[in-house]
Amino acid sequence: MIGTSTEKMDTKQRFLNQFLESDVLPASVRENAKGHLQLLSLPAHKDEYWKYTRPTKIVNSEFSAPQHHDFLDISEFKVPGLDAFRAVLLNGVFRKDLSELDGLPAGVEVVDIKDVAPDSAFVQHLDTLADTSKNIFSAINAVYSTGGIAVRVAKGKVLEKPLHFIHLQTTDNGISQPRFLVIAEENAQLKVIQTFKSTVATRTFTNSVTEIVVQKNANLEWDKIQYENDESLHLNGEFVWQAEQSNFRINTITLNGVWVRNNLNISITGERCETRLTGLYPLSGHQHVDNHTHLNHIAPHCESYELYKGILADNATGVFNGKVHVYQSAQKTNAFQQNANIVLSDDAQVNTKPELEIYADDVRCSHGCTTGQFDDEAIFYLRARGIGERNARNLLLYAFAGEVLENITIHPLRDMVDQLISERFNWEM
Amino acid sequence: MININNLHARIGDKEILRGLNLDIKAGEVHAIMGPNGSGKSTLASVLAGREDYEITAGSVTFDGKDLLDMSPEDRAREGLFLAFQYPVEIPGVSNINFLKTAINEIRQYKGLDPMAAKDFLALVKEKAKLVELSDNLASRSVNEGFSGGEKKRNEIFQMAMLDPKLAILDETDSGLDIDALRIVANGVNQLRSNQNAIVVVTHYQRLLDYIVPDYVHVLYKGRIVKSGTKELALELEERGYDWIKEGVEV
Repeated sequence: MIGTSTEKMDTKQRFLNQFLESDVLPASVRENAKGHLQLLSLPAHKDEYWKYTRPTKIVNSEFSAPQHHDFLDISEFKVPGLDAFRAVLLNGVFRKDLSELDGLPAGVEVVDIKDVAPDSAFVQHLDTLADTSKNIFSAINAVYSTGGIAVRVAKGKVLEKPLHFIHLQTTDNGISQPRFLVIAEENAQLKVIQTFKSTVATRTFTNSVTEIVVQKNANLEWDKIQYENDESLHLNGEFVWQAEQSNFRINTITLNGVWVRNNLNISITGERCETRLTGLYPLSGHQHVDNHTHLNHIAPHCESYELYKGILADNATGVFNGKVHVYQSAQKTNAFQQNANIVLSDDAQVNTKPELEIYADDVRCSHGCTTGQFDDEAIFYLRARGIGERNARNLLLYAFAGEVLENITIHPLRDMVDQLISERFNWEM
Repeated sequence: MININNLHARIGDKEILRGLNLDIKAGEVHAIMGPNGSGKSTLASVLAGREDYEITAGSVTFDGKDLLDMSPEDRAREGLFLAFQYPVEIPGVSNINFLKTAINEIRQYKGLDPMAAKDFLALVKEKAKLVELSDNLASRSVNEGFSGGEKKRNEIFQMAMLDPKLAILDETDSGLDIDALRIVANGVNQLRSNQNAIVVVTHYQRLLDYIVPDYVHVLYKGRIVKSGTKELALELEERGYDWIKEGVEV
């Protein structure tokens, strides 16, 4: 027993030793997280939350110190044809000099998380959602954060142009541990695009934590595009808090990465909220992608809609775990959840697990999951009209993915994602 | 146009077509009738290239080419069209996108440039009118949420768009009320010409009041056991199929 526990400690310590000391988040946050980190252990074999996704790959990898660039041309990482505000994180460090934030309207702040004033609204919310007492990767992110961005859209303000977080890894075997904090105050409105991209082909590691506060009647739409590289390790924790009558939508599009884990946690704490979470994971090679969502319906009269779709080729593995927790206080909840997968090869697999925990009696909750192959009858129908077999399959795949992709309301971004998918999978889009 | 010679086909161990012969020329309309299980739909499926069937003997020549040697898409590109008995719903694929892809693949096969978007839309408008299909249905997902009648009209709309040499209508009348039947038949009649041929597969005579055939064949136990003109269909309507069956058994 003692031997095993010491060994575990060593693994954890060896893992932590790879990270550089950080002074990004306020000292109180770091100290607090450090305390938790001492008590927390790395996910183990028997840990249900990590059942299908072992963090061994992360824990056993060796990483390098970040490369510094005086300058980097970011034009190829923009969304083509999109007029947007842009905030660049290079190897996990916010780079104001590379960002394009001129002309932000009054009442909209986009700042280096390192510079948040102790008495600001930011500090009030920072690290209140990320669950560092229970989530070891949140705690690591708090202690060893490489940098980050804090955003506040003040009461009643509308950001007309989308705000694009461009997260870039340019270091071979580099580490990035960014922290994002976004606050949409009462009646505020904004759209955020968050892209994760590597310019190197080696095993980079991203441990990103995002805290999102959506206050009364605010409206926030979030598109997250993960296309780092085929070897990247990517861990993403989003922690969302919604107040009454707020509207939050998030699309998670995962296009590559050899090991990706998304932990999306949403707490709906006020009445008459709308929440929409959609995701697409078209996978190939030896990719392993795990989407864990946890939706807490705490207040009554709220609606949530969840749709995740996977297309799995080669030896890819997909995991979907969708927990919907309806508190006793959340009467008249209307929750819909669906996970659908198309498996294109005998060696690909999907583990899907819906978890509904309902403690209120007057609710409408539905969930379903389907995993299957192509509809042969549909393929024959298309071929009988002169469409070649390959294009017939492409049309069906595109239609399948389209139900998720149509949730991207920023048209140039939709075009970009279509383009990325068609390049990667040779689909006609 | 198409010559079917001693065609034998089976599914699993079950032989369904047992030496079928049929010769169809441009400009002709043939009706194939017969009791349930006689092999009517199998014939339609085999000609369209459905892979569930194994051809054990015989040949099919379509415009001088070996039809059985072609993939389903090449058969369509050569001008063969099957109106499905049960049209498939394809969520997420719009009728318009589907037809544009089909038309352009057929054009590419023939060495033609893709159709200009403007011409394509004009064609959609013109052909949708033929079967009284609203623009709304034309832009919706293929057959998704369509009523039975709308699905069959959509088949004929596709036929009109693709302008095939040989169209096989597989029980297109099944499940149609009289108004829908009239619309479908009217659409088909407008597509009749001396350049193309139509095969109407049906269990009932009713459709043949509207699409008047030049020849009527009775299929029984995988063979054509009787052929005649449109009067044969009326006789079948009156007397049923028993007298045919008896004739074959004897």
